[in-house]
Amino acid sequence: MHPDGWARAPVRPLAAAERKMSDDSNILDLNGITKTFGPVTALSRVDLTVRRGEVHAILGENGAGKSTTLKIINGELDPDDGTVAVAGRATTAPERARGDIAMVHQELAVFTNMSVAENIFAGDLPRRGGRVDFDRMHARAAELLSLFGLEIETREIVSRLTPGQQQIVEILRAVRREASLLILDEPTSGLNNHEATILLSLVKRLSDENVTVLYVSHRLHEVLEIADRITVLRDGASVTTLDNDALVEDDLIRHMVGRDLAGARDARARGIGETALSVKSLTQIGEFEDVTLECRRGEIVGVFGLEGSGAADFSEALYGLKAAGSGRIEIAGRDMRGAPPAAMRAAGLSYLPANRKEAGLYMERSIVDNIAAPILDRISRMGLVDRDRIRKQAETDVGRFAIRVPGIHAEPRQLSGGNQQKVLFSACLADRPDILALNEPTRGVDVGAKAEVHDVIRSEADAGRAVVVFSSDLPELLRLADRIVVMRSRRIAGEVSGQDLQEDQIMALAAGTA
Amino acid sequence: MARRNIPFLRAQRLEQEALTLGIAALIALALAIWTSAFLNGNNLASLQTAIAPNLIVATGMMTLFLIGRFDLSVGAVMGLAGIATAWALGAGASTPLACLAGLAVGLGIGALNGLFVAGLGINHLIVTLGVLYMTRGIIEVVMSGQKLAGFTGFPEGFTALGRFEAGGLQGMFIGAVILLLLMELMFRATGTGRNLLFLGGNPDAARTIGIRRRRVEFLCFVVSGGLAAVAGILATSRVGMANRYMGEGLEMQIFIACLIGGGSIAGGKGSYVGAFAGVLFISLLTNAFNLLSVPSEWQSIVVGGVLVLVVIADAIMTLRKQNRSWGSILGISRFDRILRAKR
Amino acid sequence: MGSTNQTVTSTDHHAGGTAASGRGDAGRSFGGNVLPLSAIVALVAIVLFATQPNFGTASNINSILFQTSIEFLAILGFTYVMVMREIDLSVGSVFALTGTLMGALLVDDWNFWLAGGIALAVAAGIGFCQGFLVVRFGINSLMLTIGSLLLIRGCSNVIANDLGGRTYPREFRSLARTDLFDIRITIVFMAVCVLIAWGFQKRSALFRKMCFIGENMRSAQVHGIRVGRIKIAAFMASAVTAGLGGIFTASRITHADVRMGLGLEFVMVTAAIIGGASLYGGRGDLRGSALGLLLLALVLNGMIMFDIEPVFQQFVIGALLIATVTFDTLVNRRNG
Repeated sequence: MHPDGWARAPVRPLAAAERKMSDDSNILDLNGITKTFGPVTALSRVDLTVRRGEVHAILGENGAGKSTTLKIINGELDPDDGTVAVAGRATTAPERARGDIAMVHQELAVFTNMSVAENIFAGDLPRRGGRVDFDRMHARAAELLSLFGLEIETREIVSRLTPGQQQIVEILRAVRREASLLILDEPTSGLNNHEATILLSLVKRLSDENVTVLYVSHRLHEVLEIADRITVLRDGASVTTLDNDALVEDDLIRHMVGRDLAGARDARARGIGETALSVKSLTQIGEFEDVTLECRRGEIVGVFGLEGSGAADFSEALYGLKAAGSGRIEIAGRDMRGAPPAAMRAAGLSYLPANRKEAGLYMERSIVDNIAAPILDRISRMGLVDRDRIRKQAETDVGRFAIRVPGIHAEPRQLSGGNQQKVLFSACLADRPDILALNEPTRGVDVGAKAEVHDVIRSEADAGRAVVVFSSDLPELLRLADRIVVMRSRRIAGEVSGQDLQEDQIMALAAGTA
Repeated sequence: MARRNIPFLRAQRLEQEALTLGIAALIALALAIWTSAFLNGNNLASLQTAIAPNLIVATGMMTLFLIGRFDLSVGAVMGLAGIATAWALGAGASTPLACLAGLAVGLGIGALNGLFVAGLGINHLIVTLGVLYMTRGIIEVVMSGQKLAGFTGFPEGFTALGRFEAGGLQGMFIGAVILLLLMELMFRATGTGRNLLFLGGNPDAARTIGIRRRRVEFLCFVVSGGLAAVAGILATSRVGMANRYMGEGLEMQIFIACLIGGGSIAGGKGSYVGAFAGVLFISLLTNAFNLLSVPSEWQSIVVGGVLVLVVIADAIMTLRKQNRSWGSILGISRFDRILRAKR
Repeated sequence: MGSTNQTVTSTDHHAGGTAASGRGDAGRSFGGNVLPLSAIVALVAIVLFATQPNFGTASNINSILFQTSIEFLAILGFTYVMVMREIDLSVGSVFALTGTLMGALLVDDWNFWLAGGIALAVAAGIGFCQGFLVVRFGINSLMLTIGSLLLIRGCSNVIANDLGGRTYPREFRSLARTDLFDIRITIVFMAVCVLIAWGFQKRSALFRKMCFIGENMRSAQVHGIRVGRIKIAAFMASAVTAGLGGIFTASRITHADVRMGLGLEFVMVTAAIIGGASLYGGRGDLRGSALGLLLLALVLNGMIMFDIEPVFQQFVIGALLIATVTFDTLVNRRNG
């Protein structure tokens, strides 16, 4: 650790280049790491070599062993077998925990009640005498923020920042420590595209600074953009380490799942029926304004917008989770604006929430209960639940969605992200709705499960349901949607369909450059 | 880089504190104008001695509020500490020794609370409520042979402790204010103080920046118990008796004072200045009722009503911060829909 | 952090492990653990019966049950409020206000049924206001009901002080002594309620919805469960049942008393938690709550029999509360 923190000049391209040439030893060597939890083997003989100064990405499906590997590197776990060498020296877990490694966990760990500067310097506030040196702290924080082009006032309370800004503040906390190894676990999952771009440039900059970055992400294009080398984990073993040289996404996917996935866009010929959902000039001042949208039976309509575009608020208002001041939400000709979710469901509109842990699942209830929750009234007679029907429904759904569970009485918290998402889908589809509003249907889901979820969405549309997909994952929308409605600055910026369904066109609409 | 100016009160998170203090000042002003008795020396003295123990207890309570905990046993601890001190004096102990005995009771019960909450991870509402009952039970047992007034007839040296005054200012009041200011300074300026806020704001993340949650929690409970004991000893010394009624129901008063002064039971919010403002507000209100000879039950109506209003206002402001319109907060859009349906 | 390990490992797509078999219905069933609690209550009763000849007398048992059955009225709605991860600390005050108000109306020569109706309507109104505020503004019910506890207590005491020490009319005083099949009517009511609760908790959709709301309110909302209505209804039920208990208590003590129902809310919390409810919602069992009250009554009764200082009762309630929650926390390792 540098005693004087961030006092030295932050950008020294020459010095960095010097160091890169003079020092090419590995900063991290994992050799034959094995870790078991009870009867289950999480990692078996994982090898990983990280060179000093490189950006090294780790890829793998959920359950492939990424989290366990990171925890071992960060000193939170001890491996059963194998060695972890840092800068050529074998280390124990406590040594690594105390040592020169900084990790940003996937879960947001900011202090929303504190100022931006205090968050960045949390745990290591600059002091003078016995007191906190606030002037120095704010000055340094401002320096750090401006370095990455962030216009955030350092005295601002973090609760007033957007989630994306909060995430960046948290990452800056790790950066501020000037550790020689920085671990980022899914750092862009909560960021919009603009913020993700900032983050990626930050990572590149750190790499120039000779900081080694270990980067875990589901977003393949990011990994391809910034990583020098990529290690793929599968089933708790390291499959391969690739140099990022003329690689394309399909190469990575093949290594991750061990098979080829279906090609990009599927050409569909499904019958599109009459209008099922019609939104007319829906407005909530300050959130979304004059939103008009139509979705017909058998159609998949994508809604794309960067953070702050109003798409997220609109999706919640559509289902009655948020208020909408004026306009109409017509379902089968009836205006449902202002109706609560219960009435929306009764009218045939079902909703898949974006964050399954926050809303959507009961992590400590059985899968049976989770699937039955939205249809309790339908499977009850005179207020009494038909428990056989619940169980049968759960068994059917577990089979239908290929949910990999120990049993139908298992709890979601025991499942991987992909399987949790499938349980969420079962609950969403349980009452056979006519219209589906899906919010981020594959967030935090690995590649394999993602493809399965996409299959489910397509087959629901084929079965004549009207589907509206809200997603910040543009490739996903391109793959799924018949047409894409783009939102920008709380309004609809345009609609794209047919030949125009191209990534650059849509992005231009969303970012306002078109 | 665009730098927006952030108002001082918001940057220091003193908005609610300022509001409460302002209202308390208004009450004082109104009393000074409309009643002749308020500015009377006797009234001011008794007001100070009523406020002082509450301030001391509130200092401990606010420390816990900052980290998202609270302690409902403080009133009972205050009572028991006073009784323990009185009992030790009666048994012939010197004043310092007797005070130590009282303090030890407070620290001990605080440690017990801390052990259960921080050590075993039991919910603090339950633990401190249980300890409140248990302590009250002990008080009843100790006092069961005593007359209603409890222990009386203390040596001069002890009673002087709570009756010291200089130029219309009560010693214990000044002491309490100094204590409070020192705590505020600690809280604003030192790493330890900021760590309390870090811990209250996000306990899990606090662990990752090296804050030892259990230890801090335990110490805060000990501090709270110790301060409650100090308040009990001072109050005993002032009134010259220790009985079963001392500190009865005080926990709720202090709890409410801390809430009104800007604390939050969720933690990570509040300040000692706020504790001061809250205690001042409640005490002035009580004083106003006494001066205007309003029956005591009206007092609980007003205090309860104020708390309900504060809680509602706080909730509405939170919703407003999420950019919800007044219409949607107050449910006007719902009426709108019903009207449209009828049309 | 055992659960984290499981998430990472046991459900790997390709491992296909069946290692972690589900905990079955017992994992988080809709209802508490009534059997062990019954055993403890029975044990305490047997010990008392065997050692204290005064315990087994019909009048003593009747008086314990009567006491329990009146408190049971107040815990009825309270338990279900706790299931939804809310808390209603105003029960003791509503209890006092309703009883005192009805007494005051009767002293003023109102019609018996009208007075009862008005008193209960006031209770229902209070419950509605609290539920509405909690639902509409997302207010923390602990804070809100601490405020209303004071507010309502104040109102109740205003009425009580107006009445002075006057006794209630005979008609009202005899209410609590109403018998059905030679048993106090509240005891019969308690027995019926426990039986109904059994079925309600096992089979009803409503109770499941309550558990869902308690475990994850936002999920429940997404699933079209009418969270607001159910919560408001529960707060109303809590106030009305507390009011009923208050009416019977007022009738029993025959005159207005400012200490009526003082601290009752904490006895309710204690009994409900002993009975399987949790401060973190998602659980709760009316049968357990009843057993919890009975256990408290037996222990206190036993202490009197054993000539333990009656003033020590508070100590025992406090210790029992901490012991129960400690046991629950350590066994289930619930976070909080």
